[in-house]
Amino acid sequence: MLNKNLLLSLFIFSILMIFTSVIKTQTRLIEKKIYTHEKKLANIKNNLHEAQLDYYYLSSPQFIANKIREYSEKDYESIEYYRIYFSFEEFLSEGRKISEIKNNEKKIQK
Amino acid sequence: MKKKYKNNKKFNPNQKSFYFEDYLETNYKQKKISKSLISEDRVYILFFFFFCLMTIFAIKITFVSLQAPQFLEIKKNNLNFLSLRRDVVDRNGELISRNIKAYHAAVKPNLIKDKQKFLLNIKINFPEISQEKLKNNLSKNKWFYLKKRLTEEERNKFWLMGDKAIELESYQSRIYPHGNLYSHILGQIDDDNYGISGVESYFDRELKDLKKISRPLSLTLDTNIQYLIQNELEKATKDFSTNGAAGLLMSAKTGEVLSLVSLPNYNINLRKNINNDIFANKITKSQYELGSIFKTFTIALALDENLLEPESIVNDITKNIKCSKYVISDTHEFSSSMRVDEILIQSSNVGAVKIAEKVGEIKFRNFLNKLNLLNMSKIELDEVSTPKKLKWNKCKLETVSFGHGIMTTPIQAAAAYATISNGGYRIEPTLKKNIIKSPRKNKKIISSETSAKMNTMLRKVVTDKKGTASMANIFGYQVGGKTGTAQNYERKNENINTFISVFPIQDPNYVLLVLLDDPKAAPDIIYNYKGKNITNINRNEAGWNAVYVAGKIIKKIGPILAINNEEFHNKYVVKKSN
Repeated sequence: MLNKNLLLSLFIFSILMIFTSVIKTQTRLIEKKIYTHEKKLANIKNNLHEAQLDYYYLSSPQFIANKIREYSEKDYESIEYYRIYFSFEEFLSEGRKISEIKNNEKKIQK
Repeated sequence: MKKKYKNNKKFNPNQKSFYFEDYLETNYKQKKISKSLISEDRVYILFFFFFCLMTIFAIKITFVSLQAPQFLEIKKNNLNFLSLRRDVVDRNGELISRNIKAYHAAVKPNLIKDKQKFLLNIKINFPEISQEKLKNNLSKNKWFYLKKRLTEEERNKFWLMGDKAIELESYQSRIYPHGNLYSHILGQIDDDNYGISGVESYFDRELKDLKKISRPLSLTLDTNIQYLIQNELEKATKDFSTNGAAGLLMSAKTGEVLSLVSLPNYNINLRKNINNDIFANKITKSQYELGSIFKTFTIALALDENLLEPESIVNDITKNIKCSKYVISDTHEFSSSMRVDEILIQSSNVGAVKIAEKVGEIKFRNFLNKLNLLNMSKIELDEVSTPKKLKWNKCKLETVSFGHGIMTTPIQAAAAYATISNGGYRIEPTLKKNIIKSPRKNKKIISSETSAKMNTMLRKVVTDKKGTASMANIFGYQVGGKTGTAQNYERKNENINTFISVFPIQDPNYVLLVLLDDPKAAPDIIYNYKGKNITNINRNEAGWNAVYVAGKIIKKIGPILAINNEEFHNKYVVKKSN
């Protein structure tokens, strides 16, 4: 009886021990993978951090204006307010209006 | 006999023979049993110890498992660049300040194998490093910095040298991708990551808050507008040969500062000590007598007190007035009777004095106080000056009525103009986004009616034939404003020219201030004056320079502001087809 109980507990313990070691090994492998991915992610993040800085420098108005001056003699000119449209529909309706005005002018001339 | 046995409880009637116990054998058996019990106990004890050991291990494993995320975190931290300071972005999310990883080069002299070779290597790659100093440092045989703040190219050179004695020590450096553009706003940090000027100093604690480290600090500034204003002011500095210039664009309703430019500026990435006064922030730190722009406040108070109306006639406008030892006069002769709005439009000093005298000194003083012109501005910068205490002695009322004898910072004047034009609500200029309260919750300084009347008059300064600011009449933007041409308090032969504009005047959204420090006449400039191109102008009043510059700025930034504000566009921008 005694031996039976002992054997049973030892058996259960051994099984659990094996399971634990297997799970631990698997977890370690997963951990390694996670670490590798995190390393990659960190590299990407660091690159993004530097790329963002480059982007904001290269797209700064001063840099762009200098480049314009380098390649052409034109200075920066702001868009006239009447050329600003908030939607494509607005642009089309204005286009229709202008064409109507032109048609009417042609009719009057005839 | 039978009876006798029957009474005996131990008597067994079925027993047919006697049982003789062998005590020797029984003792042996008992000994055996007791021995087996002892060994069983030992096994139990052993098992107990084993169990305890396993429990300890289990607890330890559990503890390690719980600790694991932190352990991983340390690993992660080594991988990721963890900024010690938050980014700063403008109102559109454009990056204007960020920490990056940079390097210093240091030397461990005890690791140098051949000193001559080492010195030669350094001489070839870095001829700017003094060989004498280097030799001297090497002779001390102690760790020292060879070169601080390496550029990427320098770092690669050191790396390629491959000398064990050279140590590349990493540190965090602050980078400003826009260079000069925000030099007077952002300020700088020192080598130990402490903000020492500007926004970096004012928001130092907030910028170093590790809980918010991933979230950038948003400012109210707009990079594109800032550049356009700076660009126009730089041109103006050349065109009018000024000592310096300044510009400020602010929301008239909320006090949000969209642009703050002060020239000359400097590249904040170079981290040089700047002690020359010329580099002071002209908008918040320098104080000026801003001249005629004060007439707006004098008239606004008279209107608000119901003493006068814009159409009221002010009589006895003489060529000059004597006040104690001072003679107050106008730049040119005006008629002896002028309407209140004409006094503002044509900028009559004597007219302003007459109005101030009707208001009285105490009311005028209180009004300036309410407009925050006598106190320090509360903008989020360290470089803000405290106004000099005003002594209200003889003639002070008269001189202050047209902006002389009173020193203010341009930002105070612009904020006061915002209050006059936004319906009378006091505003505080601010650089931090998302802390704006509704202006209607602010203290009301003048009535909405007075504000509307003042806006009409300010518009006339730009549109009227005799107005002093006609070159700021940019079509579509309904500009109003007031010019100021004043003597420099410290250098009497120099002028400070100012133009404060407000637009669109029906419902003012923006206040733009342009200040030029001693502009000269620019005869080469072709002015578009009331629809005609004119040149060879030898005048240097604000109307011929500050207004001209403000007009050019509004023309350039107008579309950007209109894009940002659909209501403004729909309401005020006239379409081509109409």
